[in-house]
Amino acid sequence: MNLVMLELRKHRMLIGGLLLLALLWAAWMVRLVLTSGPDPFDYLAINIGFLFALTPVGLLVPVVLARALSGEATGPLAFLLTSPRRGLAHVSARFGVALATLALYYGAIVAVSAWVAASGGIRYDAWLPPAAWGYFLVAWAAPAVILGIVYGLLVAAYRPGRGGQIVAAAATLGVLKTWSWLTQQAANRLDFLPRLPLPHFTVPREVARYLGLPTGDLDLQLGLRAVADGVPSAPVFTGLLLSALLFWVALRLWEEVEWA
Amino acid sequence: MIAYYVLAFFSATLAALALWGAWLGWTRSKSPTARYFVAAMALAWVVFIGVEAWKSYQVFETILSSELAFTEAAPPLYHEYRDCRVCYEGPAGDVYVVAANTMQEALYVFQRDAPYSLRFASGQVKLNGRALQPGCYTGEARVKDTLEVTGAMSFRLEVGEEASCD
Repeated sequence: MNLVMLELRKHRMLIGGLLLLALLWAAWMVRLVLTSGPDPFDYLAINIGFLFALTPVGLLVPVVLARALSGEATGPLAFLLTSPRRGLAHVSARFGVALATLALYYGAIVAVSAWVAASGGIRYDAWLPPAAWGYFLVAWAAPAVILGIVYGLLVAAYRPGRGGQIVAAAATLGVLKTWSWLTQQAANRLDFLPRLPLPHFTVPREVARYLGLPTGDLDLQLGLRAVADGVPSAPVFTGLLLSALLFWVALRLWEEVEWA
Repeated sequence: MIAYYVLAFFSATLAALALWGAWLGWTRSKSPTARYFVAAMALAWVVFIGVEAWKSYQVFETILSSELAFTEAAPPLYHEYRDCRVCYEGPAGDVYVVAANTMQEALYVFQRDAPYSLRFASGQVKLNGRALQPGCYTGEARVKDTLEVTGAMSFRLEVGEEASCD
């Protein structure tokens, strides 16, 4: 679709930059693992450190999306907002491209981390990396992306100088508060929501000794079983619901922006 | 005292910002979706500001008044010594929980009367000197009751009104 190509061209620096970042980090981690000695603790620790550093970078995507949309009404692409194509095409294109970018970025991070962990001797269920990736995308990445789109459309729905940013910020904060409240309520009250199984996650002896455990391998699933009986799936369902609702709001806003 | 003023001022400022956003959103656009969505979300934010301000106020009350600090907020039991593997001790939902994969050695003393539930898969657990078999137990603990643990596996002690064996 032309709209998808337009999005790719518009954000080629961000998308290219994110993927390049992921690729460079992957190459560096692979080299680190292949050239290190028998002790896996160093590269496991470096990997975890990088997970914390690389994850927030994905926030750039919704932010850039919001900024691009909020400037669209006064920019050279303003004709898009009054085009006869349905809002569904426009919003889907932006949402799809952004979500695909985040999916690739976090997919690369998860895949490399999984390989590094396996090289370090950590044993885990095969479904754990894809499940973690999918969980993260549905519960956090998708709602964040659609919220960025809604933010930008709200700013575009108000003429410049008539309070667009304040309006969009107030609405966004309300959405964030409602989102966390919904997740909390769903986790506490909706008992019929399935609980996902605790994964096996066995840390090898060499690493476990740093945690002060002299007696062999440590399977976190056995330990966590005393504390929690599963992983809650409420965030996934709340993320789905929120994404659907905000998607609908974005569609209506797109169609009505020209009324502003 | 200052804390209350800071809390009130902060909450009032945020609420004013939210209400201003709601008003601007409602009056400055002809798009119905934008008007309703912004008004609804901004007013929801005001409600949450109020709820959080109330909760913070209650926390301040609890901390600043020393009587409550020794009764309601303090944990219902403490340990004289504890050696455990993969353990958690603290609030969990409606109960206070001590959970461990392996509880090598521990001596717990109750600080107040409370219902409890205790389960473990193997090892030795003595409640007030009386040895218990592996399994799940519920009961009412009194102040100064002691729980002595040696080599227990899959240990879980819940203390509170909601403590149960299921």
